[in-house]
Amino acid sequence: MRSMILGQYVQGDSFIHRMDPRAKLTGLFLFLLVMFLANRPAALIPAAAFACFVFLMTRIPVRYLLKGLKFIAIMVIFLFLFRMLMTREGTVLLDLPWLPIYEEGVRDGAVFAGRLFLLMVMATVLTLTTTPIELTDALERLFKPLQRLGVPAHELALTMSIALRFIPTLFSEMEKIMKAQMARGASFSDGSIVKRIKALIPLLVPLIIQSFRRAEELAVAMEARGYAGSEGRTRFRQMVWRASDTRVLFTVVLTGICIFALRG
Amino acid sequence: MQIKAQNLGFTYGEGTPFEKKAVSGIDVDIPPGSRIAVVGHTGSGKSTLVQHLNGLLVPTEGTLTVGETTIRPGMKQKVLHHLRRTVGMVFQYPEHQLFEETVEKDIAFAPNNFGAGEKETAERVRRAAEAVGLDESLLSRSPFELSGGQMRRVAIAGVLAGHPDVLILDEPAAGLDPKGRRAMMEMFSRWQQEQPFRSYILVTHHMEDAAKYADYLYVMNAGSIVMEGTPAEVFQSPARLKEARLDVPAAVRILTEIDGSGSFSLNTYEADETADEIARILRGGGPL
Repeated sequence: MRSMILGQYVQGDSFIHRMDPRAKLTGLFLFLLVMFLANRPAALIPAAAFACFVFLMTRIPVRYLLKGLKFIAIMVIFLFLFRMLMTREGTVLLDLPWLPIYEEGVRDGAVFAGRLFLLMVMATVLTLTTTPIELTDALERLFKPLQRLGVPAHELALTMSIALRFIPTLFSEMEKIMKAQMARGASFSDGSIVKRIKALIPLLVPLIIQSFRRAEELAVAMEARGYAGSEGRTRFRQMVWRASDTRVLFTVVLTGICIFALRG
Repeated sequence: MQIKAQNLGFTYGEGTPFEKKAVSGIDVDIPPGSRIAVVGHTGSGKSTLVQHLNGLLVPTEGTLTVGETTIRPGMKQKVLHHLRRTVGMVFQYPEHQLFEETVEKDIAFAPNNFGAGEKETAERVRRAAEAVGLDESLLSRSPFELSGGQMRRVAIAGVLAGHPDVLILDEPAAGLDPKGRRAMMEMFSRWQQEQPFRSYILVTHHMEDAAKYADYLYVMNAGSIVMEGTPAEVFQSPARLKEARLDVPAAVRILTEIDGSGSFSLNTYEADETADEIARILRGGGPL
């Protein structure tokens, strides 16, 4: 999965990097909403233009993004074909004996695929320019109003940041156990699929046991330092919402108006 | 099993932005039947070096010959699988590798992988359990019900059951109390002496263990071997050891204070031997 860059962070100091993470998240959500206004491929042009514009502003090399989008592009093309073949409305464009292709199918498939692709690009831009910690902080802040309804916003955000924090730890742990089992003659890359899946047991059992142990230790360590939930907790990293953040959201809405105008 | 490294080097993540040279220019020659210690502070590259010896890492420079096999840069891991039959490895905190339902099955993992028959495996499990001092009644228990010390013994039995000729021990006594540490090292010593061709390579920063349980030391610093020789030879230059962020054993320190010329000789580097040596020097240097 070298080619997958969704979820990675690239350090930088662009306008997009410096934006308030809450604004980035809200912007992504708004972007998703306005794309639903499009009902034909041409109506997605403003959204595509907006995505290009935002990406160029991050000052991340375009080649890096293109390489990282390969996997997503394959998925999107697959979904396009699927959607196109499943829709049977409008005039027949191509009368293949088993799979007639309809005009409506091509249109619907293209809009669907375009929407998904643009959303994935924007989600990638979000993670490329926002550290996981910023993201969880923003999520916590944005979900705070829901706390009254019983949504444990702080706990969810904490769970997420702990999970992200321990991904590298788990990876090195996995590498170590893998080597230890290989030293005892285990092989993870030989034989049939069934054999390979079975070969994972000596890897997964120790890994899960270790994780439980580590979770317990972490809980004790947190309690020992007086952790008692979100109540009365202050923050080290302060988020600042600037006028420019509002302007970005306004641009997304403007994109939405353009999309609406281009509807067929 | 002869082990010979020539100008061996290893770089993590070669060709990526995260490239990091771990070891370089390593020359090592280990004849069969040796007791070797690789000493160095944390991050000196000693673990990286020994992971080459059973093919877990393939060098990015130089060559390594283990028995009949010569390993060169670019060789595939797969072809090195057979090396693991002859070179066993006890990792740091080996109890973390346990996974089976019973102690017996866990110890049998290596012999099963190496194609020992059912009868042969059962025999090896029994012998390995005996060698590490595990009671036979524990064999049918789950390894996760055992105490930490017992779990480590099970894990080590699991390596011994693979019948290696060479054993790599990466801080095998880490986290044990002094008594447990000594028992652990004595156990490996006994294992090594059982057959004339058996060797072990002890990776440690515990100088007392290195002094007592090895006949030849390699001192590592910043990815290179900076000193080598018998313990007595190496301990003659405390200043150079200090440069490698290591220390001489307490016994050597005390005796150097008393007798600056360094004309003492120690074998076990333990308290009673040191006391005898002090007495000998104070009496005027003659034999006891």
